[in-house]
Amino acid sequence: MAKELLRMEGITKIYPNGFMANKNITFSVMENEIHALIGENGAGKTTLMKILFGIEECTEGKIYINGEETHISNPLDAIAKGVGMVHQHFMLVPNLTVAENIVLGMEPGPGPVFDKKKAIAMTREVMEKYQLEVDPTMLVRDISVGQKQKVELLKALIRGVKVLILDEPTAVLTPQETRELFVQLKNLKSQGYGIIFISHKLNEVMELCDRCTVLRHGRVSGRGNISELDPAKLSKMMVEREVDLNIEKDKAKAQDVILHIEKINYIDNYGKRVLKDLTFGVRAGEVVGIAGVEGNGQNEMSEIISGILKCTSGKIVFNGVEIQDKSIKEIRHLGLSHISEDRIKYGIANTLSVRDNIASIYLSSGEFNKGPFLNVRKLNKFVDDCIKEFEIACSGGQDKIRYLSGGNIQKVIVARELSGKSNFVIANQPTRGIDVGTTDLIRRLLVKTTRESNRGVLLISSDLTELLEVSDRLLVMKDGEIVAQFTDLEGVTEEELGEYMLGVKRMSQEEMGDLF
Amino acid sequence: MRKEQKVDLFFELLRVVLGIIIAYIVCLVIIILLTGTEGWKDAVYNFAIGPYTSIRRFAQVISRWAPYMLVGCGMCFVYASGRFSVISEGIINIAPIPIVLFMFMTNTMTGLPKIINLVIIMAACMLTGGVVSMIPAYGREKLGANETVTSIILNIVCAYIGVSAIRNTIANRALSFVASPRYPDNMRFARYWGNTNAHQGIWVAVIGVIVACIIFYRTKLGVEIRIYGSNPVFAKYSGINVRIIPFMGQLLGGLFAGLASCVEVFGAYDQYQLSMLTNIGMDGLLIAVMARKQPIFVPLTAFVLASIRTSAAVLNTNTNIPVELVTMLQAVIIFFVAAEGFLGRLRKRTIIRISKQQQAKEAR
Repeated sequence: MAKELLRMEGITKIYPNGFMANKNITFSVMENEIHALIGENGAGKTTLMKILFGIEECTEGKIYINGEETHISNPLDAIAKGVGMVHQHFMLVPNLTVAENIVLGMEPGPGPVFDKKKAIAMTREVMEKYQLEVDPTMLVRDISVGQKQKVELLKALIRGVKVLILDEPTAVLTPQETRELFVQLKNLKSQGYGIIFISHKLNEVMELCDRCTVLRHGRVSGRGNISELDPAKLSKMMVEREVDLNIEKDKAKAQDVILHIEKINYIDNYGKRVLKDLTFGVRAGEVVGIAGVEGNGQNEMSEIISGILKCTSGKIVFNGVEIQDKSIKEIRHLGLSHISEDRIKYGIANTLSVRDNIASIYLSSGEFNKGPFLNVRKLNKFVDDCIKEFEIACSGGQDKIRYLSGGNIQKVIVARELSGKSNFVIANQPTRGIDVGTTDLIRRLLVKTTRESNRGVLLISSDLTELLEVSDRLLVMKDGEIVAQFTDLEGVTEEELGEYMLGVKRMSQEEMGDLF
Repeated sequence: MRKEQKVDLFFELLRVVLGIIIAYIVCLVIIILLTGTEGWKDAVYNFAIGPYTSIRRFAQVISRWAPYMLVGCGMCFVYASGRFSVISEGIINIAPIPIVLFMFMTNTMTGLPKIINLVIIMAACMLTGGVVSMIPAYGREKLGANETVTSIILNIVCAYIGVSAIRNTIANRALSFVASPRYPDNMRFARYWGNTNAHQGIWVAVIGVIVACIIFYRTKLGVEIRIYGSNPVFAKYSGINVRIIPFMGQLLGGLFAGLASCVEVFGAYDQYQLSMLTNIGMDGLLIAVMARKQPIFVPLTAFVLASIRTSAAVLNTNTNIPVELVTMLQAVIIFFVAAEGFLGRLRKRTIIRISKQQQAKEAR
């Protein structure tokens, strides 16, 4: 029988805000095994791994490594005990070279002097051993996402870890890069490593893994050998009720152009040209989806449209007004709503009440003013209506927003952005990290708002299913340009999108047609 | 309200109350150590209820309470906008200077009715306070200079400008210290209860707190300041004018400090005679911290501090314990109130317990 590398027993984690993320979870990894940890977003996978990697402390439970009970107090401790982690968002220094990143914290050289040559040699050595090739002299900011992931893997391997945690490694990869990663992971497996593969993509799990543990609402809802399971059984373990995520929608009746972006360029602080002559438009009454691997200019684009960032050159016409030099406030007054991709950073004021958070975007328009004062009665009614209509689970507008769950916080944001008089919504990753029920609700709302309120919606998402479900028109963005347009989404597959996202294929101007 | 939120609220309150109690106990222990076994009973008595043993002493508490409330409210705005300017301290000294000079160098105010004069005095002090508060604010927002550091340095500058302005112009040469001539009766807050320190300024303070609460909770500006202080990036994203808001928070702080100064200088004193920093501004910071930057709690925390300060003064006159003891007491209070970790474990355990109970309930 294979040796057990790691065992977590009876793990319970309660966050200081009272949220119980893990309930009595038992989990183990063998040698020569890829173990899938699957579950919906918010099921507790990441929390469990943070406990294993020493980022969070568990409230109850025990961790055994190689059969010995241990206590992991911090990530350094975890690495020393042979547990390495590749985070969902890479933890790399963009301004250093690949080799420097890999040896960071264990720099070779006499005393305080850094021996660059030796660092590169060390890097080459591990690269050869595990057949993970990246040019060690390149700066990390210049390499692709797939290569960054390899650097993360190497960073863990050079420190001699035996158990590797990969937190949704494929979320940022194209299907082709994913395949390459799988080959590398299988290679590592054959060398005796134990790999924990976190995902919510069943096909990937079926292809790659040996065993799996399924989490649901912080509990283990199923486990077994992949060879004895099929996607249907797995999805049944993952989702507690049959959620019909198929959104029925009638054909969009696209009307006047609300947003027209013309040849915008953006050069970032590192001098990298993030947006290249980006041109497209959105009409009233339609949802335009933007597909693309993360980091191809989508966030910059959404920040430029909403006025947070200023474009280097180009023209944006919104509701008939040129907005590239306008302030956020002026753009919002012209009718823009913005659901940002980072809801904690941009979307809420953590320490304030639900009411204040909803009021924030309406303050400057004077909608809730009564002379110099706030019209508290009107505002409270508005907030209560939002809570009711969007099914926000809280006892009232005075609740502090930080006591709400992620899904409910997102509902507050969506309620705020969709309840006003705007006629255009940018929804940037509106359902990332959100439970199934809320995801479904938000998707339906986005469709509904175009059909009933005649809004235009620009949906940016890394979830291809979501894009195919919700969009009326789909654009693919690659390196700051639009490389493909699908006006009829019938029969478009995720594979096909992936080829455009990676840049294997590219539509010509004629094939795409007018982009608005 | 959610259960977790209730627990949090309870622990915040508990932390403040326990902080004060522990500070008291520490002080009592030190008093006992200082006075020895002989006079400790007397000292403890003086410290605990000294301020309430005579009307004159109680008047002293009221007199301190007034500027404390105002400066505390002002600090709430500064603090809520995410800035830590302590310029209020210097404003107490410098805010009355222009109007004091005007008062004694021209005859304009001599014939005016008292109520008009008081309005002029208050407006002038607030104006000066507001202008001075903009110096560290400008440094922070436009030049990137840390507002805490600049304001601390400026405080001393303010104090000396005040002294030298009086000395070189209107100083009353008959006195052995630098002071302006005595205020005429129609240019000051009248004293109550037969020339005790309690004066009409307390009403200004009461109105000031009400106005502060209205601005803080019930106006667009108040909400914007709180949003900006909680998350500046979110404020920007919401279309709030993020260039103006931090200035407004600090400006309001300056205006209230100016008013506090007015109440102190034209109420508790018979002439302008501040020759060094009064510590009222710094106390304002403590009051705001204890009140959790909520102006609604400021009257309470300001009263506690005013009472403690008066206790120290009583102790100073009646026993051989120095007034500086109170500074230490303050340090202990700040330590416990500001320390988020204090009672943190207990709080965490309580939240975990109720979460489990709720889980169990849901499971049933």
